[in-house]
This record gives sequence, structure tokens and C-alpha cells, in this order.
Amino acid sequence: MANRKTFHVLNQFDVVQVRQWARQMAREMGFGLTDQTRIATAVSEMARQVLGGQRSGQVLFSTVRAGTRWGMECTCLGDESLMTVTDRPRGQILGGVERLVDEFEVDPGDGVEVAVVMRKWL
Amino acid sequence: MTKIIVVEDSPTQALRLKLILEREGLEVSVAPNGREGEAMVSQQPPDAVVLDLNLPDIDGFEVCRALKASPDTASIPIVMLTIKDRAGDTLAGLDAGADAYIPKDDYAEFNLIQVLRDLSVLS
Repeated sequence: MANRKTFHVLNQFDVVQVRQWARQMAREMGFGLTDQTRIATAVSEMARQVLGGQRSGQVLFSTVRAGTRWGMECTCLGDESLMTVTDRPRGQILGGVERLVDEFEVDPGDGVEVAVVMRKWL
Repeated sequence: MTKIIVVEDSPTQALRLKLILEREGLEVSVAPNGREGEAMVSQQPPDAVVLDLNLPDIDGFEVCRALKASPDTASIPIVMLTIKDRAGDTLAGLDAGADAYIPKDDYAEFNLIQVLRDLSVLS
């Protein structure tokens, strides 16, 4: 499986594809079953939010490394509607999606294209 | 023979799961609700449980918690297989003790078989 992959999210079918890719990538990287579930769900939630925006967005996957640690990174690119969803106290973002990953960062960018970056480490 | 108990209230979905899992060489019993599922697992402990969440009497979260709380059934892997695919539901499932959580989408069957292999229930 490639360690970099980009999906354009245009419909609900794409959300399902993105979720499945996340699960499979996590499995192949060696994440356990519960972490595979966490990653797939987090990605699915954010992909839904990307889909719900005014413009189509993207979901990008990559492997990341910090020293001897390897991890999986997912970047969701959407419009400004992503900001209103993520601009909430911890634990209240999309039913707790940030609890499913180790790192959850929001980059408002120029306000037109917003990036949400999620990472989970092995 | 490796035994699975499927807790699923939809007869159609239960039959489909039974056929899929029997095709993989598993012995499958079906419970149509949560209480019967709990009783079945306690009386004849299987090698794994496939558990729906939307059940007519008690929900699958409660079934999972009960099974994981009992020393006789705590070690039995529980795979939640459900239409509920939001973060809150997944977190609730993992908090209840589920070993895996699979949404009922186009990949459900594939993911279930893969999970059962990863749990060493299927070779």
C-alpha cells in the first residue's frame, strides 16, 4: 500500500472509501484493532465535514516519522465551514473525534481553505 | 470447530452473516436480542461474538459491558457490527469493551472476516 494517498471527497461514497483506506492503511502499518477503529472513525467524521462544506475538499494520507516513532497522518482540507465545526472545546468536537487520535491540529490558513491534521502514533 | 455467536435482531441480516461465516468454516448461532445473546454466550461460551447495537430489548453497549464484566466471558472477543458509525458511538463501543467496531457499509463483510483473522478466530 502506498504511504501517500489523496482522495477528493465529492459524495458519501467517497467518505466510505476514505474510511476503508484509513482502516487498511492503519492495519498494514501495524496498528492494533482498536486503533484501526479509532483512526477509521476519526477520518470518516472529518471526511463527512469536508463533504458538508460549500466546496468539495480532500483527504490526504501519509506516514510520518519522529525519531524512531512511526505514525499515520491524515490531513482534511475543506472550506471555512470546517472552522466552525472544530472551534469547540476539547471533547465536544464532532462527538469527541479528537479523542480518537493522538494529535489533532487545525490550520485556518487564509480562511478559505482550512486544514485539519490528525496523527496517530504506533 | 470454531464457534461464533451473532447477536442480531434482523432475521435477514442474521441469515446473511450466518451464511458468510459458515462459508469460512465457522459454526454460527444466532441470538435475536440482547438478553438471549447474553444468556447464550454465558451458557455456551463461543470463540467470538458479533454484536449489533440496535437491539429490541437492551442495546449492544449494555450486552458488551455485561459480558466484559463477567469473569466467565470477559476474554471472549466482541466485534460490534452496526449501522452506527459516528465518533460518539465508536467511543462508546470501545469504552464498553469492544475489541473491534465495524460499520455496516459496503466493506462490512470484508472487514469482519479480516478482524476475525486478526483475532485468530479464523485462520
